[in-house]
Amino acid sequence: MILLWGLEADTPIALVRKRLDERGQPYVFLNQADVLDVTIDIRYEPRPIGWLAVDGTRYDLGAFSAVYLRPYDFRQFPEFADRSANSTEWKHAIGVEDMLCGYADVAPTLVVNRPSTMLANNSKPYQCSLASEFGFHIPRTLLTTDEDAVREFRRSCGAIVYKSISGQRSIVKRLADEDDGRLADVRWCPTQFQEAVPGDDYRVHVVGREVFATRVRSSDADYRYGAAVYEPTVVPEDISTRCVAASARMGLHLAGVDLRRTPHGDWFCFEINPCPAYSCYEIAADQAISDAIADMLCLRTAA
Amino acid sequence: MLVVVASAVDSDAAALLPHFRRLEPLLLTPADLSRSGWRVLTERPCEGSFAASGRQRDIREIEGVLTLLPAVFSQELLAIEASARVYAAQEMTAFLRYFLKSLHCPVLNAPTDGSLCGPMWRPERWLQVAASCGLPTDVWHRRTKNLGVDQDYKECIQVTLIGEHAIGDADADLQRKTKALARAASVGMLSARYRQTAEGPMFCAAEACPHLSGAASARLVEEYMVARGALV
Repeated sequence: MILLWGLEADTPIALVRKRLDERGQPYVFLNQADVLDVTIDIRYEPRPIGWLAVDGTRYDLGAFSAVYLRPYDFRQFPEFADRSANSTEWKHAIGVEDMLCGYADVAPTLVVNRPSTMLANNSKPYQCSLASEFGFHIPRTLLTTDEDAVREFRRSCGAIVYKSISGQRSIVKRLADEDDGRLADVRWCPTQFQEAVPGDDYRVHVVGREVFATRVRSSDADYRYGAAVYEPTVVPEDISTRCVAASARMGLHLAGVDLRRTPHGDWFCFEINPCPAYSCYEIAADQAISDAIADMLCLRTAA
Repeated sequence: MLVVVASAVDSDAAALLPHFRRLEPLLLTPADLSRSGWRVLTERPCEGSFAASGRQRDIREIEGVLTLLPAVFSQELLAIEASARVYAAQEMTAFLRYFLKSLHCPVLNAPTDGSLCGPMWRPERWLQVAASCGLPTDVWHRRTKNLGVDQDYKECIQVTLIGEHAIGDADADLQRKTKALARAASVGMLSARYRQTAEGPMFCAAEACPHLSGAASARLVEEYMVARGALV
C-alpha cells in the first residue's frame, strides 16, 4: 500500500494518483484539506507502530511500503481563515502535521522525500557550495548589508541579479541603474547578489537514478515569471550523473535541479529543489516524470 | 575572538561572556544583521567582514563560534517594518546558516539544514538514533486523541555535554550514553534526558541547542574551542 499526502488540486499529486490508478496500484490518499477528519495513534518503540484513520477507515502504518508527500501550509487553507491559533481545529491540524512529518522522517519505508531532507534548500548559498563539490560552476555571489559592496560587485561583474537567500520563493531580478537609490535598504537584511550568467536554463528532474531534462528558453531573468519555451532534452552524461549524485547526497529520491548552460558550455547550478512542482515541465515538455515517480513507489511496494 | 550567536533577549547567553578568559568574546545578535558591514563573497567567504556589537570586523579574526540560537525569529526584528519581519527572519537565518558553515574555525554546534545549532530533529528521530547507538529508549505514544498533552520530563535526569565533559556531576553511565548519542548526531554540545525505570535509565529526548548559563558552561566551551585550535 502507498500513502499519498497532499492536496487534491495539487497537480503533481494528481498526476501520481492518475499513474497509480492506471497501474491498478492501491493507495491511500490523505487529502490535506480534510485534516480535521484525520486521527492518528503511533507508539514509537522506537519503530513506529500504529495507525491513521481518515473518513472512519483505519490504516495500519505497517501496511505502507512507500510514501509520497507534498504538504502545504494549512494556515493558508480557507477552512482556517477565521480560526485562531488557539482553536481546537488549529491545534488538531498542527498535531496531525507534526505526527505525519515525524512518522515520515523515521518510517522504515521509502519516503519521497523525508521532511528533514526537504529543508535542504533553506539556504541557497549553502546549497550552492554543496553543488560545487559535485563539479558544477557556481555564480560569483555577494551576501551583504553594505550598499558600497554591491556597487563594487556590480562594477567587477558587469550585470548582476538579486534574489532571496532562503527557500522563500522570490523573483530573480536584474539590478538596474534606477535601483541605485534603493541600495541603502540592504543594510536592514543581508541580501544576495549574483553575477548574471548568460545561457539557457535547464531543469533536471531526478527520480531515483532516472533523469528528465527540460531546456527552457527565455529572455527574462526569471523564466517562471516571463515568456518561456520548454522542450525535452538530454544533458551530457556527466551532468546527469552529477545531478543524481548531488540529490542522493542530500537524501532526495525526487529533486528538481536548476542549471544553466553558458554559450561556452559551462554548467552552472543555482538550486536543488527537494519538493519540485514537476508537473509544469511534464505537461509543457511531455516528460514522463509522474510515471517514474509512480514506478518508484510501486517498485518498493512490489519488493 | 569567540563569537557567541544568541538572541538579544537571552540574558544567560550575554552573561556567559565575562566568563571567557582566554578568548575575546563578542556577542552577535539578530540586530547585528541589520547593520552595514557584512560583506561575504562566496568565492572567498573567510576574507570578508562582519558586524557585531556595533563594530565592523574582519572574518579572519574569528577563532571560534558558540551558537545558542536555532533560528532568527521575526519577533526579535523590531527595527524592521512589521510586514517584512517574517521574510527578513528567514533570510537572516539562511544567511547565518551559510556564513557559519563557511567558517574554518570550530563552531559549537555547527548549523544544519534545520537549525543554526546542530540538528533540529523531531523526537521520533532522536529516539531512532538513540536506539541505533544501543541506548534503551522510552516508548513514546503520540495520538490525536490527547493532543496538547506534552511529554512530562519532570522526573527525567538531564545530562548536558560539551565536548568530552558534562556540566555538573552527571552519572558516568549517562555521560557515556550521551557521548555516544552526540557522536551519532555529529555534535559537540548536547542535552539529553533519561527516565529512571526499574530496568535502568531510558532515553526520552535530546536537544542540540541547549540552554547554557554560568561559569561551568563557559569553561567547558572554552576548553572545547582551545582543544580544536582556537587561541592559536
